Amino acid sequence: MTRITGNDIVALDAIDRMRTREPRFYSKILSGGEKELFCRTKGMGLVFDEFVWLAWSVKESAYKCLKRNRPALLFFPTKCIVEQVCYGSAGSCRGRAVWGSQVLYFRSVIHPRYLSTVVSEKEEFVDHYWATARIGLSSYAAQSAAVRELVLKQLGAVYPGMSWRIIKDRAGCPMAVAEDAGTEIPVSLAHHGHYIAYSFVSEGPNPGVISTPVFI
Amino acid sequence: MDRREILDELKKVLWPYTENKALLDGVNEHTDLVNDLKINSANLVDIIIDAESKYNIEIDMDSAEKMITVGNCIDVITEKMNARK
Repeated sequence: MTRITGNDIVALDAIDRMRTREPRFYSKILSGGEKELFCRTKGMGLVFDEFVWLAWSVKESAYKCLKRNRPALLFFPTKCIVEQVCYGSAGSCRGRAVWGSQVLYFRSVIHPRYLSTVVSEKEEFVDHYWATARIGLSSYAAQSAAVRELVLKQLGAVYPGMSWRIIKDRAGCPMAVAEDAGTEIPVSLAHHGHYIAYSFVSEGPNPGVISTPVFI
Repeated sequence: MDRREILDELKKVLWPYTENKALLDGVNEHTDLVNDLKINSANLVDIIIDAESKYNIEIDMDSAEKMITVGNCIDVITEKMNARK
């Protein structure tokens, strides 16, 4: 079975920090348990509004991950609960979230200008390719073109000699297809403000690669 | 308010979050907020809160998740406005 992934990116200069701190705003993103989780992990360097958007990025990533096999799935942030966050060094964190009975794992990069998250059904994130980049223009068209160019470049490096293009599958989720080779790989694309990010899982031709997030 | 009036007011709610304002001219009940208007999903909570203020209603999670198209939004707003009476 194809392993799936979902990702999201939040440009911190594109969010309204004042509004994020309003209870009527963050209450539509965070559950009571997640507010307690923030209180327990205070001092880890994240201010409250950044924690709200970190949680958002996990929930949006989880939705993208699950929607691929459940096309009728609807999204609202409080349907996904972030249960655990472990902050690492150098602006990284990892944790666990649940959507109903489905357990998902996430890894995030916490950068002063963006939050980038990738979600997987497996805790190990083996063979995950994940990258973030800054672009000059922040229009929807520029974001969409740039993130596709970025993921196609990575696919070309992982699968030398194969020609890829990005299509939408029946659920409306992006899929990389190499028609000559009869191969397709689910990809997740995200963009916000001047930042773009992708994730995909590749089990070949270089199995065992454990990718680390890269900033381009 | 009838559906036409709600739609006209809803366009004002969507305006700040729609990059290409010209797309709002062609809005109808089938217009998808994310796929057609290219609204970033990070603004969906803003839209719900602005709609709550505009129509003096409260939109719960079960209703909010249905707000995919403009028609869905009008359904939810109508339902909440009627429940307020």
